[in-house]
Amino acid sequence: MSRGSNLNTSRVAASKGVAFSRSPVLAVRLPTWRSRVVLFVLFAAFAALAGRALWLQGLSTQFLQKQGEIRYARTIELPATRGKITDRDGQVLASSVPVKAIWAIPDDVQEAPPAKLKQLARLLEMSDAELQKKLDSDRNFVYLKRQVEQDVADQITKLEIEGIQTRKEYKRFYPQGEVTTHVVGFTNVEDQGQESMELAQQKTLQGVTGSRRVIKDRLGRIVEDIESVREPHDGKDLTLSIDSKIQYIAFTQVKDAVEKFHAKAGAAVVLDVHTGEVLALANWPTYNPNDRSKLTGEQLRNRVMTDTFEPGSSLKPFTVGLALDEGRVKPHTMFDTGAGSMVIADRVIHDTHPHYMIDVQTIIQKSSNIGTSKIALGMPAEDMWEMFTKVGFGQQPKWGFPGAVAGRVRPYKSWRPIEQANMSFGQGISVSLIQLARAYMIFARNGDIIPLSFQKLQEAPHGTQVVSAKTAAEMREMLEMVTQPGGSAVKAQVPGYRVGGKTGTAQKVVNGRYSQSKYIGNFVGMAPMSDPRFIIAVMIDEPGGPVHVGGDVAGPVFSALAAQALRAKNVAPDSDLTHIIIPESAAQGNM
Amino acid sequence: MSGKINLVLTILLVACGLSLVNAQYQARHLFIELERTQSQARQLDIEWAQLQLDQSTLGKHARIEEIARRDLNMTPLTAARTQYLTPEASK
Repeated sequence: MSRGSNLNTSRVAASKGVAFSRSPVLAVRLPTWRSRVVLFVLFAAFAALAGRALWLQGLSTQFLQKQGEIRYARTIELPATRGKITDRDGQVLASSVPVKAIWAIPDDVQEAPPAKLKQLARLLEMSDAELQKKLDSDRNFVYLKRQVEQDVADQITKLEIEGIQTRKEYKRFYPQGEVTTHVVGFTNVEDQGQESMELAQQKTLQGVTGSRRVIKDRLGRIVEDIESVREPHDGKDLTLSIDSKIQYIAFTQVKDAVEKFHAKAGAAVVLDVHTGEVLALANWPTYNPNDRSKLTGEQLRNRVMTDTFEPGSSLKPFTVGLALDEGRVKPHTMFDTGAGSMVIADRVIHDTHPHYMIDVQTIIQKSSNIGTSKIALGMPAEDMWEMFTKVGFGQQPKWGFPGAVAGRVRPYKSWRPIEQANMSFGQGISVSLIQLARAYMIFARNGDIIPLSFQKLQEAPHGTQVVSAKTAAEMREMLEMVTQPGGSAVKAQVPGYRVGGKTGTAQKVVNGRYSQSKYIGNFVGMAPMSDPRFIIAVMIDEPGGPVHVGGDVAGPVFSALAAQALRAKNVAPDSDLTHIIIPESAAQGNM
Repeated sequence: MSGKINLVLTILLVACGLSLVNAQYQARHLFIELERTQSQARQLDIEWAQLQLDQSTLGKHARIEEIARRDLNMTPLTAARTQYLTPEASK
């Protein structure tokens, strides 16, 4: 009350022009404690402000800055793509395309209108019941469907169902499908390689995802990087040694042959003689890597790499080649093969026809078991074993292909003479088709052997000499005779080109005994003979018809494959012969 | 005298401040532009991969062969029907 009157008087005084010093207000005597209180309150307020400032700036900064950052800073994942796989000419064999995984928080979705859920089920290509079953879960996270294509995922997002989320992922596509699948392999939904080259090269193919911290504005646009960006690294592209054209030719030929001869399976491999690159690797049966829902082990099997078999006569050139190289025989050294049977210890070796006195060349041309056995028995077991080992039989392949097998060659110390003879014509020893094909390098090249490669090479690797160049040339001459009239594989002839090779027919081992009805027919050959460019090996497993010997089932496959491959690669013909008339008698040749 | 200097400095300070604001604004805009272009580049990359896939799918040898045989009535070449020409120089 008194304060109010004071104020009034001072206003009156000022308005009346009373000098400040003579203002009546100043004359009022107040107790000094009142000003002390005001002073104290003011100081206390400042102290509180200072304390608060200290608290915010000094003690809880980290917490506050973090909270602030949450409101504008975002971490963005930078995805990296898995590398492409291409053939040697750059045609894509496997490529990743971004897709979406659709997942749900089941509790949130339960409240969605049924009409929208029906639409969702339709977009996911599921029945309503199936969708309900997935959503009836106690978990907080359920994948509804993975690898949904982008446009479908966009439609799902547009439905705006609460609790339905999408996550970016990649789907691998294999445009060549079943044709190249045994070389390329496939990945699982997590983009991890599962088979063949996808598995072997997983480390280089897979990308490393990066991340970055950014400031986003109100509209969600990125305006600034906060920290340095962790760059994503895309996986490296992989260029295979495969030639799509030859691969397709090999695939169709194997497929046709398996159907024609009612066989259980078939396989073929084509190697580049100069570089050791695998140009084609085909299997039948096979599978479509884009749809693996009905995949069986039989389809998955890569018979070229993982199946071993007793090759039969196609192993003879190695024994004969070794004997030539060591100077034990000459191409025209005569051997008496008698009337078609020979006894070693208590076992009998047969030839399909009696050949009597023939030379080494003819032993190969007619594929005489007795002749080869006689040559083999004239050599120490150790030398033969060494030869087999040098060309890679029984050795674990190191060509970067998962599941490649070593085959089996028993140590020479345990060989009995009958076993040594058997091995000379490919029994009691097991190899894979690719090992067999590679071993023929010593004849196709000038006696040396090089490692194989599934990736395109810039330069040819250096070889290891196994036999002399002279021996290789002599063997090539004999291998060519095999396909000429009088040989065991005239059906392997190629019009316009000189070719050579060796057939093999092996009885399958069933329950530890040689089966009389189950065979594996194979043929390993090279073309063109004037300067070998391809080695082609074909295997037909359990031909079901009356024809089962290698020359008759695998020979024609080789012929067709070689003819088309040579033409596809523009190899000039080296023979004038364009028509082939197979003599009736030779067509019934033996193994 | 010092009053004038102060005035000039104040104006300078305000101008600097404003230009800083402007620069930051420009920087953010350019950054957004960069972002957009980069995401466009990524999008084009994806499209390219997709097109490569399509090329490989459509250029499949099996498909070419089928069309050649069925629609164009073509037959495979044989050596008997081929005339080989050898240039003189290579002989």
